[in-house]
Amino acid sequence: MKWLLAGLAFAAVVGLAVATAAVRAHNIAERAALQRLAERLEGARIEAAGERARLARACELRELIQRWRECRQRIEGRGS
Amino acid sequence: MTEAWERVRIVVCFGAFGAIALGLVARLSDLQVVRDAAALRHTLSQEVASDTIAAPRGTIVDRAGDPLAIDRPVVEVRAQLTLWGDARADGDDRPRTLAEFCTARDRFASDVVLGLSRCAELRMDVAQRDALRDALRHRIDAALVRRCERLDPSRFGLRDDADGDATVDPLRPTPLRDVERIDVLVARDVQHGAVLEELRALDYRRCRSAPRGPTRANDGRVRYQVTFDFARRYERDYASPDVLFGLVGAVSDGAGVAGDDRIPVGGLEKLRVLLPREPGHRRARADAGRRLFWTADLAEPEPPILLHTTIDVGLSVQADTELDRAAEKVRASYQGSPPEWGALLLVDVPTGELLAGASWAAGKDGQRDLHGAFAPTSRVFQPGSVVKPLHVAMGLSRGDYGWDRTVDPARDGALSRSRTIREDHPLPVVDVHDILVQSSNVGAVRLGLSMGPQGIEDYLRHYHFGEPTAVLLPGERAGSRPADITTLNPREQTIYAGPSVLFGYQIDVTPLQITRAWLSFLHGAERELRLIRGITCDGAFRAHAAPAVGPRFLDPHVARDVRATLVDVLYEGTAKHIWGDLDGREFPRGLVGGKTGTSEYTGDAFRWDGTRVRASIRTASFACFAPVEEPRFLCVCVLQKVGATKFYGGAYAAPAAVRLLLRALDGA
Repeated sequence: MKWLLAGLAFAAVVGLAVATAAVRAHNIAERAALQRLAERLEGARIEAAGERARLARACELRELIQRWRECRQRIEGRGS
Repeated sequence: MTEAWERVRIVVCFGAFGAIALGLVARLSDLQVVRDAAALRHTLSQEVASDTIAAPRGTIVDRAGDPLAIDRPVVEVRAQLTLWGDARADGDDRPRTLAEFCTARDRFASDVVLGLSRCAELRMDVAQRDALRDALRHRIDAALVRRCERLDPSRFGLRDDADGDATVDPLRPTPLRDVERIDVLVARDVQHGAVLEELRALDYRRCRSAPRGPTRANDGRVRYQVTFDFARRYERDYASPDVLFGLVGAVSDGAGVAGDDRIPVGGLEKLRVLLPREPGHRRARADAGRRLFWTADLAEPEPPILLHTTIDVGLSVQADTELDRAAEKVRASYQGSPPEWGALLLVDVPTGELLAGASWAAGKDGQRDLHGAFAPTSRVFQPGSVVKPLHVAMGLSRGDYGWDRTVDPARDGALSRSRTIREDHPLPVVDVHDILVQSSNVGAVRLGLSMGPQGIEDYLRHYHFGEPTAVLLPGERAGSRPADITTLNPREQTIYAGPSVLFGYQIDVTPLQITRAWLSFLHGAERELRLIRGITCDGAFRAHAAPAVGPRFLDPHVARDVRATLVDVLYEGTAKHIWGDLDGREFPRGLVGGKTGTSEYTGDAFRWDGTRVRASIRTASFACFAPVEEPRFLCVCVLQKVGATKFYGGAYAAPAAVRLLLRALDGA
């Protein structure tokens, strides 16, 4: 009985020490993961802004107006 | 005795374990619960670095709220590079020869290129990879040269090329023992998240957690240690930049990332309200073990201000197209010689909002200079006959004469023995209707003189000639007008300045100013043009105070009759030849009214090809509005040509203005 209690007490001490280290390691790992996530988010925001600008450049307004006018003429021609 | 001693030992052992366990629990509770706030404060106070995050410039938006000029964030990446040489017994791994330096340098360049080539977004081919590798090598060499300037670079085989690149002679001894770290620009405008991820993977602070790190050289050694600085900066994006350059302006490319060092060039970009607001900060902290401790301690820069304008991008594109057509028509009519400049403006009459403003300027090669000065604000001209309805409506409103007043151009042109007003084309006896429709100079002068000096002065004041407009475009010229007519001597009042301003001479206006004068005419009261609606700052819209409406000076019935008279200008007057230039468009009589203007004077002028000549300077203009009964749109077109004859507003300016007006009516 007494050795069992001694073993349990020893295990409790070791367990606490391990748990403390684990909490700390987990904290560091989670913090690093959060950091990576935040960096990825910032990268995604920058990429999205660039993509928006690229798409805006891709549809040139003058061309859109020209196409809209052609479509309108076609529709009006069909109506008459 | 033995049992008692054994019991004591057991109690002591158990007591010790228990005490340790209790101590650990107590310590844990103390740190995590009791001293939690203090510990966090302590950690947060361990700041090791603070990066400034530049704030973006304000965003300019059109009348629909879509951006015309907006800052796009990009990331400038710089490497803090430490290069290593061969391992040595004394533990000093710094490179001792330039060959060692070159090995380490090339390894770093290869690793960066390898990382970036993994990014599918970049789609780098072999040539691009080689170019990037060479660029990195050159930058590292250049950085080394800069760091070693104090050490007499030539002594170490470092030299600057004529084009600013630097090269390293590998056979010379290296001064690198005196250089701890090299700061190298890796990329100036990274905008892909994957690229940033790859570069971060090379950062030695993250190597343990990153899937990829620096590769090893042939001798198995990692030859460098790098940390990256990622600084946010901005590129300015413009909607339809060629069309809106004059109104919106642009900013020059900045040289560095410390703050915003871009310089605004022209247009609304010059307004101070667009300057970046307070920057943000990102703080790096260290824990008790001096390890970097990420805390999400990030203060974003203040969001940009939104500058709301009245610009309609679609109509601006139309205005640009129509003005270009008008200029090309001039070129075709004058054996390839283009007009010196042109301007086309469209205004929403009820609000005075400027919807579109196009500018045309000839470069020295005769082609259009897309980035020339913005003609609507920077060019002045004598408006000519386009001002006649403005004072005729005043004279009729004041009762100085009636619609039945007649003038005989052949007899009434002589103001004195020294000055005779002449017509551009012979005219019979004309009444007020014909004076406007046939654009009689003699008639306009005789009617205007009926108002007396005070009446002429009121005409100049009500239409604000010689004053800049309220559109807030930087650099607008003020124009000019004669001194107060009532203070001039009688000869000036009745023979020179007084009569001249009545048919658009001795007045210098910008296209914007003549547009403002016509806006006031259509309202019958003093009005101002408007280009800025307001700003949105921190989510709250603050309207820009609308320009005050001045006193009404035209009788509404008279103004309506004058507008109705101007319809005839397009059918039997000076603009009757436009119909062949309207792309087959037809519209009911009474929809559009307008007035031509053609001024001519001889003076020194710069032609489009840069030569200075003394020649006839002719300015053709046309102002039109629709619908006539209740004007919704006002359009003004001005073209100037040096050394031309038969250059009339009805032939060149009117078609472009009417076409744009019809486009505006289509979408209204």
